[in-house]
Amino acid sequence: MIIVIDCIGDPCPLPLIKAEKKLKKLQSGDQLCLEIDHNCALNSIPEWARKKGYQVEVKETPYLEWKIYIKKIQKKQLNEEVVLKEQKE
Amino acid sequence: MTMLNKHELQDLFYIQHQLTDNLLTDSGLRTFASVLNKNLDTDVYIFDRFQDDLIYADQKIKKDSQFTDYIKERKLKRKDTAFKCCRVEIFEYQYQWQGEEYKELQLDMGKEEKVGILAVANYQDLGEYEYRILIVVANSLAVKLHQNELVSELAQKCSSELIEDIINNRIDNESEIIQRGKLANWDLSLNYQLYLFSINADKNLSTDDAYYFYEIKERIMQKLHTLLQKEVFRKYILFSYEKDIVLLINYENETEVDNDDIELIKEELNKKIDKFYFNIGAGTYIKEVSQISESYQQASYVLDFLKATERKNVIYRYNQLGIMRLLWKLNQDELKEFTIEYLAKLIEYDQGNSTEWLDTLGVYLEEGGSIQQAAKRLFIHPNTMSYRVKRIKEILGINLQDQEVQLNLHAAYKICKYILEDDLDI
Repeated sequence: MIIVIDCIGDPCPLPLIKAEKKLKKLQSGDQLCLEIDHNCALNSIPEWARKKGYQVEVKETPYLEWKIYIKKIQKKQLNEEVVLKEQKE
Repeated sequence: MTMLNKHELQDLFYIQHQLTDNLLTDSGLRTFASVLNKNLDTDVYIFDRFQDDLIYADQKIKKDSQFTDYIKERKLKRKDTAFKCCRVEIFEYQYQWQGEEYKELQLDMGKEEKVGILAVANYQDLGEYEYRILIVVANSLAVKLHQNELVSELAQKCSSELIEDIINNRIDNESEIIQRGKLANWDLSLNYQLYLFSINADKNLSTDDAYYFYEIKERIMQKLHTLLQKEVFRKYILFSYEKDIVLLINYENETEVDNDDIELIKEELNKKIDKFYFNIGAGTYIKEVSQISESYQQASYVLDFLKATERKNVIYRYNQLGIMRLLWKLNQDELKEFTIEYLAKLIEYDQGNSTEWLDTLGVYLEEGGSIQQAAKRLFIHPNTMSYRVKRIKEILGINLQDQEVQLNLHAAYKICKYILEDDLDI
């Protein structure tokens, strides 16, 4: 399930607060799509989400907007990814 | 006036509920605009309260590469009231652009505290029902934009303690301050070029413009955010401190500092801001957070210098101050003694004859001894300039061709003007 959150015109840190609130209610496997047009959120949200252990992907649109996809993943899945990353290193 | 029928009233209530839900769920501006897209089949955009910049435009409009030109270049032909009710007035504007006529409806969001202007274009004939939808959407958008302003102000307040610590170099632990910066959305681990903006009103500003005087800083901040995000495309930190605005633009290394960025910002601000002028002082390049304080002090010196020299709308760098960087730090009594030694006779002459030949000398020296250039800067005839220089030589009893004399006089003049600010007790 992908939930789209409209953050167009929102000043920082509003998009981050909205993402945090919504993510609490999501199940693992669910995905958030934040639509933003403020590049301060573009810097802060992916960094924050990665630190929290979520999968993050950023896509740029042709009209100075971005979509930040944040996926809630299971702890087990996350651990497996960390192990794989460590093995590669 | 026509009355709404039962179905239209029900629909209007439904839309009102939908907008309330949008507010309670912190929806973005697109969700609010979509109510108009769906119900009125129109294109929507929103101006800031100063009508300087767009704070929202439908994706369809953003895709149109000519839209920005249209907004900048269109000429207003007519303005009529389209609908008026309950303290709200919707205006129909007719614009001309590239030989074509364009119509749009505009209404202010907020009455005493205006937060923006809602504009709709590409609409068909609208009736009372459609106009009322426009009004209820504008009312909800006004609340939404007001909330956004509060969030921005709150974020700024949260940062103020951090700003004080950085500017005054109260940094015990660099990583701790970088961490605090993250809360304010600032990446203090990067390298930056610091610019300090001072804003001043033109002398002929009437008292009627007092409102703008207080709002101008906010307007410049808003414009700076837009420019940095949409034109400069670099990471930045922007905050207001005391009467000035501090801007840090991220450049990976010192050689990468692009003067075109700050020139572009200056040009754009000049175009947009009437009745006010501003100067931009640049400090030295910052490689770590603890250097921000010193760079800020340097930029402050630059702004003091520009104020004393009555420069307007200029960008000046600390390293351009030259010898003034050293002189600023010396004992004022020694500086006074030095200045009196070289300039006292000319100052006394000015005082006795109501002339301003000290400034004439200053301009002559600043122009490298060029009569033509100095005359041009002072708006006087070169012959008048030649006469004044001849008289100045006689009064001071010096040979102005002597480089040593020129150097000492130039230093004395700069000290007198920019450090002692004419306070010589002569």
